[in-house]
Amino acid sequence: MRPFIALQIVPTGIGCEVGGFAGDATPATNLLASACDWLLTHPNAVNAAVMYRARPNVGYVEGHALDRFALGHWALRPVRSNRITMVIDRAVADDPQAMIRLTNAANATRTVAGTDLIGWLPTAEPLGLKLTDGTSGATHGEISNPEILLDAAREAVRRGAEAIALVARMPEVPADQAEAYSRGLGPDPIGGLEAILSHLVVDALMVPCAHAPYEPFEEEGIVDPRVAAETAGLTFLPCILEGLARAPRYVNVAEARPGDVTIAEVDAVVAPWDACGGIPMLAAAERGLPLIAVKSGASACRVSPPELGLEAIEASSYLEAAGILMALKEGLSLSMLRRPVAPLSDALPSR
Amino acid sequence: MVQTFALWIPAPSEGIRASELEISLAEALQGRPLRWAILEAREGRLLVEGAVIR
Repeated sequence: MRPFIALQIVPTGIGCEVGGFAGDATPATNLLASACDWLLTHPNAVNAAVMYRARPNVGYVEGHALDRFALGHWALRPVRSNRITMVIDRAVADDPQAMIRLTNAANATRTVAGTDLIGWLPTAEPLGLKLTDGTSGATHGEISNPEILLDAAREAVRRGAEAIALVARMPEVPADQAEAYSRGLGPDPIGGLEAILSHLVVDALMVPCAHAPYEPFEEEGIVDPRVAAETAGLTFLPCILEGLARAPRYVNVAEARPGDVTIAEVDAVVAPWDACGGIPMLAAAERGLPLIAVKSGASACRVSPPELGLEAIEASSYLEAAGILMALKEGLSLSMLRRPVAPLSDALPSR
Repeated sequence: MVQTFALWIPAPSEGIRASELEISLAEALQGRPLRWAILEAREGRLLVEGAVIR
C-alpha cells in the first residue's frame, strides 16, 4: 500500500484562530500527522521560537514551495538531513548583542539537536524591509532591494548550504497591531513580511528556507497563551534550524526520481474553513482531491469553500479533521460513519 | 522590488483555476506574483492580495 500523504495549510498573516500565532497549530498538526504517513505543512504552523515539537513525519515545506508543489511544478525529495547556513540581515549582523544571542541559540541547537549548521553569512547591506496591510486586514510586506538578500543566499548555496535559515530585523510594528497580536486578537503583524522573505529565496534558489525575525527582547507581560512561545527565549532561531534540518528538498517535477513525492501522491488537503482561497486549496479542488475545511476562524479572511465554488468536507474542529483523514486512509465511506444512513436507490448522484 | 498588491477581479464563471489566475495576475500586475491568495468573495468579484516581483 502506498503512503497516505496529506497537506495542512495554515495561511500566514490572516489571524488564524488555530496556528496564527507562535507555533500554536503544533498540537493540531501533530494530531493530523498521527493519521498520516507524511503530513506536509509550512513552517509557520509549527515554528515556536525556541520550541519545535513537530512529529518526525511532519514535512517542513516553505509556503512558496508548497504552492509550486500543489500546482504540480515541483516535487519534494525526502532527506535525512540538510547542511544549513544562516543568512543574516546586515542590520542584525552589525549588532553585537544580537550576534551574541544568535550565536548562543545556534550553538544550542547544534549541540542539543545535532543540527548540521555550517556557518553564517551577512548580507552586504541592511535589507530595507517594510510592513504593509492589505484591504482585508491581512498583513503583508515589501522589500526594496531583493538582490541584497539573494546575493547572500546564492553565496551560501555556492558554499555548500542545502537549506537557508534567514534572520532579519523587522521594521517597528505599530503599537496597536502589536497589542492586538499579543492579546490574540489580530494577525501576526510581521507574518506577511516573513513569508515574502522566505518565498523570495525559495523562488530564486529552490532550497528550503525559513525566517526567524530578530527583535531586541522586551518583557511584554502575560500574553495570549498562543503567543507565549515568543516570550520564552531570547531569539526565534532554534525552531527554524530544527525544522530545516530535515526539511524535504525541492526539485522540478520533470527531474523527479523514484522516492520523490508529487501532488499526484497527495490524498487530502486540510485548511481553515474561512481561508480556502490559497493556491494549495484551489489546486486541490482542481485535481479532485478531498479538501477538508476546518471550522476555525481567521480574522482577516472570509472565503469559505461555498463562496469559492469548491467542494469540501466540513470538519467542526481539527479533532474531526484527524478522524476524517483516518477514514480516508482506511478507505471508509464518510457517509457510513454518520447517521442516518441514506437508503440505496437507482438514482446515482451527478458529478 | 517586491511590492504588495490588492486587486478585485471578476470571479471566473467556470470555476477558479489557480494556474490560470496566476497568469492573469501577472498580466494585470506587470510582474511575477510571488505570493497571493483570495481573501474575500463578494458580488461576483474576488479580492486577491499578495506580493509581486517587479
